Amino acid sequence: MFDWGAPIRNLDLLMQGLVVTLQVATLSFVFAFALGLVGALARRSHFWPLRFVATVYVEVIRNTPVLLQIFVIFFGLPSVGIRFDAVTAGIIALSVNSGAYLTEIIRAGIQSISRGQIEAAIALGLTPAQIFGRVVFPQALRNIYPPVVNQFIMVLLGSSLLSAIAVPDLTGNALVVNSRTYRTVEVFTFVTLVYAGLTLTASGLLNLLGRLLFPRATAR
Amino acid sequence: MIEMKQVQKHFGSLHVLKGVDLHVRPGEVVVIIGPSGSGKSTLLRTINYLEPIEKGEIWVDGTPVHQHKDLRQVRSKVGMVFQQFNLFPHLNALQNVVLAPTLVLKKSREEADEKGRALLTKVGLEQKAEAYPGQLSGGQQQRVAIARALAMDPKIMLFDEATSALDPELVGEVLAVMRQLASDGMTMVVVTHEMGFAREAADRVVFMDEGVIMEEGAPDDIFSNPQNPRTKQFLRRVLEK
Repeated sequence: MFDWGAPIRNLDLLMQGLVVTLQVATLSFVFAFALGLVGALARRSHFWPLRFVATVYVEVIRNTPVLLQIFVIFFGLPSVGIRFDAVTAGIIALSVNSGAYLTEIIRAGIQSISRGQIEAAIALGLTPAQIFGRVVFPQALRNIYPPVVNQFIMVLLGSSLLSAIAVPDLTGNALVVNSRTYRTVEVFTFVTLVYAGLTLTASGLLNLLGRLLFPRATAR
Repeated sequence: MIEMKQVQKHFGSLHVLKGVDLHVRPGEVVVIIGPSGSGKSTLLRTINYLEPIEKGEIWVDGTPVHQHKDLRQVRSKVGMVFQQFNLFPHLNALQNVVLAPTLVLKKSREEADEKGRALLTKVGLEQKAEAYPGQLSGGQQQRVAIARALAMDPKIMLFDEATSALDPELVGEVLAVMRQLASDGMTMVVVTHEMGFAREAADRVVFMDEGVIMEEGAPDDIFSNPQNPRTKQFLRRVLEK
């Protein structure tokens, strides 16, 4: 009744999709983290227009569906003359989306650092940039590492939505394999397991990295 | 070395400093005592402008701090030790000590390390150079914090209730380091509840209450023959214990 050979026979196509998924997710996450860092600093700025822009960004993104954000960037922007190929549009959409969540995560991390830490650094004569880079951010990153890893997993899984704009990622290629073989259950079960294996491996490796980067001894 | 004239500050509607004059000569050890809420910590924190002031003047080693001029430069010359230690928990003891010398004074890694280890030895912690703050006792952390401040070759050291957060049996080791510094000729301004330290190590004791200096003088005069009734009352209370 089942033909589990269907996904296996199309393994090359699915694995190509897997590579695209990994590339898109990794790139999106890197851009999202940069956006989140800028967003968090903007939300803490003394200059209110910056704070305002950052707040609008975060609230708009967090209160609208990701799929619509993807559609706006891929189908909407060409009408005002901005045109991207599907993969680029997908990476932009995921970065912008995840960047809003990372803005809040990083902001919380920065806020978790006690005033005393900053005063000690000020009293030593460090510049504001040095205080942020050498005292605040390293400690903030340690505190927010688990939710940041979680955010990467969200991007990794969320990238499957890009199949809706024909990005040839793991899900996109699974749709292709499905329409060729009509083995819906087999193909999607297989792909689901690949995603599960992927995220479990990724979070396992990242947690290991966390233990190396932030040894227990350095806790407060 | 430090010259404060008519310094005033509010926290909201609370008038914490009501026109304070304080003069500290090079090499002098000034100990500020007084009840909680008297403004003594606030006064100390205005010296390196961690606490901005509203009126008055503060001159540190010839620089007008109240004009926000060269603040970073002043701060690099004024070491500060906090009640809560405020060591950087993600850096080990030696890294805590060498951070500012490498970043602010642009010292080479080797030079800063060498001096850092010498300072850790001075505070009796040469064995703990690689330990993180979380692995040290409160007294050890505070001694690292003193070494961290000394690494900048400060002209002045400020101590903001440096022993108040310590278990009683750990107070002695920190006071010993402070006494050593005082006898080395360091200019020090010390806010403390340790009357024994004030009596032995101070050149001058300043009694503050309600945002003003009520009385100041040599430790023997203040402790044996206080003039102001508030000083008498305060000393009677703290010395009874």
